[in-house]
Parts: sequence; structure tokens; C-alpha cells
Amino acid sequence: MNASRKGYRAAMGGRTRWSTCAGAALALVAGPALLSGCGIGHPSSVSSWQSASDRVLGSAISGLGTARLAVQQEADNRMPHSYAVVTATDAIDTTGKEISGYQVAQPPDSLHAANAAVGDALDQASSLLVDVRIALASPGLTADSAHRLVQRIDALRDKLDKLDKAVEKSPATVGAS
Amino acid sequence: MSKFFAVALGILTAIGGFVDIGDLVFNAQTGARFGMSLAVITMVGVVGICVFAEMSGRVAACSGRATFDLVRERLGPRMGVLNLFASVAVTLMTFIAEIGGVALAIMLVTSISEVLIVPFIGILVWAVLWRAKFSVMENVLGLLGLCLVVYLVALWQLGPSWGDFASQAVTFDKPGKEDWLTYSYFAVGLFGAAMTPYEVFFFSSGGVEEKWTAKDLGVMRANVLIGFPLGGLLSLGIAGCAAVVLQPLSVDVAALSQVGLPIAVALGKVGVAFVIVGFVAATFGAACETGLSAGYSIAQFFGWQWGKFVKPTQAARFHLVLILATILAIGVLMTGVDPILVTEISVVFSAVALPLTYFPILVVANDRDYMGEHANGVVANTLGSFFLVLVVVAAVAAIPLMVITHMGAGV
Amino acid sequence: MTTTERAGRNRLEHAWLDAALHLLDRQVVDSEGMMVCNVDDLEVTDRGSRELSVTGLLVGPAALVPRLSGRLGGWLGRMWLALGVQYAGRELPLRLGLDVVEHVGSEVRLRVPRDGLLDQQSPAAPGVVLRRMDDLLGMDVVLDGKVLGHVLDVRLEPRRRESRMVVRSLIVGRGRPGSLLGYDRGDVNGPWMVAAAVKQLHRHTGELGIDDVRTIDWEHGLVDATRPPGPLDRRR
Repeated sequence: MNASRKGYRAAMGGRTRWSTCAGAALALVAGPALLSGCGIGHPSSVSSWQSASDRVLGSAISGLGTARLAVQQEADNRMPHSYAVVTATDAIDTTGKEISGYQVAQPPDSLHAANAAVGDALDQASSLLVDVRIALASPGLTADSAHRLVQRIDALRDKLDKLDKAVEKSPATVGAS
Repeated sequence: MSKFFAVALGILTAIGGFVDIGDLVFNAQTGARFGMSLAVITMVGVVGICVFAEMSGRVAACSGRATFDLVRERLGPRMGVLNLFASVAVTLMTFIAEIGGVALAIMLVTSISEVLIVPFIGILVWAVLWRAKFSVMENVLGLLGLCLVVYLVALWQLGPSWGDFASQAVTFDKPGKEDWLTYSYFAVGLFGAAMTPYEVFFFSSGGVEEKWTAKDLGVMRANVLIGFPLGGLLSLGIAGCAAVVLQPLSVDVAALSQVGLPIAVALGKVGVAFVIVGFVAATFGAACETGLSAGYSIAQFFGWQWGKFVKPTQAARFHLVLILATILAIGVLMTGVDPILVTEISVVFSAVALPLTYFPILVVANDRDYMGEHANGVVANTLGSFFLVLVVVAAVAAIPLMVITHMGAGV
Repeated sequence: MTTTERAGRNRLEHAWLDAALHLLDRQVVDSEGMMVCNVDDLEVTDRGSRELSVTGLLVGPAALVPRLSGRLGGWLGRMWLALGVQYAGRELPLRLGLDVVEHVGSEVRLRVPRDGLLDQQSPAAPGVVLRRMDDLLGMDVVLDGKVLGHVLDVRLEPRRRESRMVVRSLIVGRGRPGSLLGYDRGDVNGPWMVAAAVKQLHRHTGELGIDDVRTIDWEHGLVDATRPPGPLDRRR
């Protein structure tokens, strides 16, 4: 291949090694970022715990809401059976992923009790979603069982909502009683 | 086929083919979380795609050349190859999301496992791209996609307060518990979902496939200026149904099953049957379009023969790209990745890639060498420039917003 | 697909055309309308004594890859060579002689079908050096030690009967984006914003006749001029 065009300045002796400069700059920026440890065991701040708890509780409420719709439409025979089961399964999947993501984060040192209370509530939400899926799939819902499921869902959603508000306003009081 | 029938078919196909998995997911998400407060953004996005689709269709009809062909010529090989990487990466992501969407839609009503469905759909998509006639593919899938009109029927049936909807849209009435950053993230997402980059490459290449000439400009404009906005109406319908049924229950859309729930509430099993056919047709059609689009872009950059208007052996490299793209998509989906997640990422990155796509079209549509007397007039240039500014803003904001708002989950 | 309706004007019948704007990176189509390749570079024949002419279209990775490197200093080109050390003529591109080119317009149309058409570039005849247009584009233009600008484009005079295009002048300017958009050549109407911005950026663009070039240093990428470039000839 023909010689690279080095240009006037290069011909006169100077040369910018911009590629090595760029590499050095990248190392300077990336190094501290990588070393500064967003490690798993590092406690988060109170506000980021609040945001994370708000998000995961919202996800649980959303999953329960979806389950509620699935139960009602299935009970009213307005939905193909397999669709309702898939809806309930998807709700378990989605909420489960959010909960796992929440559980691997380390809470602030002052909020261990609050974190445990939120964790408990999330466990209840998970198991209720599984109950819904089991009831839907086989042998199927009756008007009675559907009604009872909806009541349980509404009660738990209410509780999660109150917990969410408490997390936002005064996290230290959560789980204290 | 009389002219009227041809025009009507084109419009109906455009309506049915407008919605893809990105529109389904993002419109349902915004309806569920923001009500109709983002409706104006959707409408702006629809106008944008109309402006640029018309331009790219005009380029194809007047010059016989497709858009990506002209990107390398106008921007040079270096910018062209960067543009190629970015466009093909985003288009392939969308391709994977669409095939995943077909799989999700089919799994709503059957209990066949994903491991079996995904390869089957991938091979079916490839077979259609290999053998089916271009116009037959477009028309059949477009007409079946019209089943999504069931969203407008359902919305009517649900009887929301139209006054409330209108005031939410016009006043950008964001619900109190959401913040403006998340609102902006979804605005960018809706923009990216409506103005998908692959659409203009596909539309102009499709024009060359169907051998458009300047005589077809009228029909093309009818398809774009009537068909696309009506297709946009379907997007608004999806958002509206989600707003009525999902928003009161604070349901956040994260699965395709949730997107169809409002139909069950409004219309029961019959409605659900239609909506599932609609899902399959819309995503399958979009999978064909994105697959072809990736092939078009690569072949047009290197100057290879492309298109379904010649025998496969005459465009061997083009078809090889399609095969490789399909194998890639099947491979990625078999890892069990969530197609909805791929959809969300592909829509955000589509927003980032928008200026790369639209700037060359705007430049070429003004070139009298190609366009003759049909080069852009004042209206097209004004609208084009306005949207160019918008897409640059969206492109710059997309990734920071995605990171800050944790992909819309909340700040 | 007959393209005669879309023929547009044939630039080979004009007084001049610009290499980068009208020839490079164009789609090449054969006599039956089938797509052949893209114009990846142009073969420039150097007979010394400042007579330069374009004699062929260069195609293929050996022609395209060096154009992608730019300021990376030919890294991609060296990578291309390294990946194929065992192949003879790895650095030789494929070539289409100008004798098969029929029409230069929105695309480059050939007068023959495409089967078996692309062949490796043959070595140069004695006394002649074969160069690439991409090496000429972007060269620094120097007058008495001062850099006036870069070669943005090369104006060619088509000579159909001789199957070559003689280099007539160099378009010299500050080399900022938009030069390929044709706005600086008065070629294109456009969105007013973009056209105005590009015209402003390219207000220093001028035309340097080949007779006003003392030497072209291909090794170092320098064009030594004897006088400043004149105003740009925008006549069609």
C-alpha cells in the first residue's frame, strides 16, 4: 500500500500521537470509576434505598394489579384460559426479577429493620401471585375462589401502598413497631 | 385492479403495518403510567415519520435509488460506514425484538415452549424473505395487522371521559407521582418507536422493489399521508385502553400479556382473538421489514445487488446477509433474554440513531440531480428541518435519560 | 429496470466534472440494470510532468479500506494486509477501465453486462506510476511554506475517445464537513439552514489550475502551488 499521507506538519518534524493521548485519558477516567467499588456489600445511602424500595413496592403492586385483572376476566370468562395463566406467570416473573434485584443491594446501616419489613411484604406478594397462578391454572376458578382471591389481593395492595408511603416519608419508623 | 382499489389496499396495508412491538410496548407503558399526557408526543412522532417517509419514497420514485445507497455517496465512506454500523446494529436489535414479539404473542395462546417456537418463527421469517413475493408479503401481513383496530373498538366500548383525555393531552398533564425526567424518557421512547430508522430505509428500498416511478407519487403520498396517521391512531388507541384499564390499578406494563388485558376487559374472548392475530401479524410483518432493512443497508453500502425483485441467485450476498441475521436473532433469543427488554433497548437506541438516518434523506431529497422537478419545496424543507432539530435533541437526551431513570422505572 | 427515463444528464458529455462529488462512492450498474459494485476509488495515472488523468474505477476492499482509515494513519489498511499476507497482490484492487463506462449521472452505468467483469489491477506500464484519487484528496496545499488549505476535490475533463479524464484543477479549501454535499459547488438547493451554514463554512474555497501546481509530493501529501487558488468556477 502506498505511504500514508503524513501532511505538512509531520513532514516538518512534529507529530501528534492523539491515539496514545486518548488512551491515557480513558485510563484516567475509567480507572477510579472501576476501583471505587460499587461493590455488593457496600451500604447504599438512605435516599437511594428509598428510591429502590419505592420501585420494588411499585412493581409488586403492579404485579398484584395484573393478577387481579387476570382473575376477574377469567372468572367472567372473558379471556382464553391459557392467556390468563400466561398473564399470571408473567406477573410472577416480572415481580420476581425486581425483588431479586432489590434483595442483592445492601441497605443503609440504620435501616436494617425497615429493609426487613419491606422484604417480608414482598415475600407475601410473591406467594400470593403464585397462589393466583395455581388457582387459575388447575382445576380452575370458581366464583367463590375468585372472589376470595380478589379480596386477598386488594388487602395486600393496600398494605403495600401504606408501606410505600411510610418508606417515602419516614423510613426509620418502618418496621420499628 | 382499478386505481381506487390499489390506493385503498395501499392505505389499509400502511395502517395495519404501522404498529410494531416497540409501539405496542411503549404506548401501553405510557398509557398505563401517564394517561394521555404524552399523546401529543405520539402525534408529533407520527407526523415526523410521515414527512420523512414521503421524502424517502419520493427519492426512490424519482431516482430509482434507495436511501442508504445515497448515504455513502453524500457523506463519504467514513461517515457512511459509521452510519452503517449504527443503523445495522439498531436494526438487528429491532429484528431480534420483533421475532421475540411473535414468539410472545404465540405463547399467549399455546403452551409450546420458547425453545421450539423461536427457531420455527425465525425459519418462517427467513422463508418468507427468501421466497414470498414482496407485494404479497406486504399486503397479507398489513391487512392482518388491521386486526389491531380492535383497540379503537375497545376504547369506544370502555367509554372513557373524552374530555378528560383531551385535556390531559393538551395540557401535558403528568400524574403527580411521576417526575419530569421519567416523562422525558418516555417522550424520547415514543419518538423512537414512532420514527423507527429502519422504516425509511425499508420504505425507499421497497419503492425500488415495486419499481415506482414519478407516476406513482400520488399513490405513495396517499399511503403515507392517510395510512400512517391512521396507523398512529392505533398507537393512541393502545395508550388510551391502557390508560382506562391499567392506570387505575397502578399496573406497569412489562409483558405482552398485559398489553392485551384491556381488550379482554372491553370485548371478551372475541376481542382477544382479534388482538392476538393483530400482535402476530404486526410483529411478523415488522420482523420481515427489519430483516430486509438490514440486508438493504449493507448491500447498498457496498454496492452489491440487493432486493427481492431479482432472483435470489442474482443477489446472493444480500440473501446471505438475511440468513446470517436470522441465525443471529434465533441465537440471541434462545439465550432466554426477555424480548420486552430487547424492545425497550432497541427503541431507545433507535432514538439515538435517528439523526444519522434523517439528515442524509433531507439532503438527498433536495438534490436536483436525483429529484429533478420533484426536489423538496419550502413546506417539506421547513418540516424536515424542524424534525431534524427534534431528532437531534432526542438522540442526545436518550441515553442519559435511560441511565438516570433506570429505563423508566423511576429516578 | 430500464433507467433511460431516469438517465438525467451524462456528465461525461460536460466540460468538466468533480471526482469526489460526481464519481466517488457512486453505485455502478451494468448494461442490463444489474448492480455491480460501488466506486471505491479512482485510478490516477501519473505520467510525470504534471499530467495526471483518471483512467479507471477501483473496486474492492483493497481500494475501500484505506479510505476508511483517515487519521488513524492507515491502521485499517495495514490490518487488511496483515490478515492476508499469504495472498499475492493483496494490496491490488479490482479495476474497471473507463472504456466500459457509458454514463455518469446519479449512478455510473456501464456498456457491458457484469459477468466476470471485475479483474485485478494490472501493473503500470514503464514510465508511468499508478496512484489513487484518495491520496490526492485531503493533501495540504502549500504556497511559500504556508498552508493554504486542503484538496477538497479534483476537477476532471472527460475525454471519452481516449477513455480517460484529465485532471484540470484542484478545489482547495479549509476542508470542513459539507464539502461532499455539493453546496459549496452551487450544485444543490437545500434546506435554507443547512445551505447557508455550509456556504459560510466554505467561503474560502477556491480553484487551483493544474498549471499553477509546481509539484505534488505523494509521499508526504503536499501540493506545492505557485500562486493562490482563484475563485471557484460554478458554471454547470
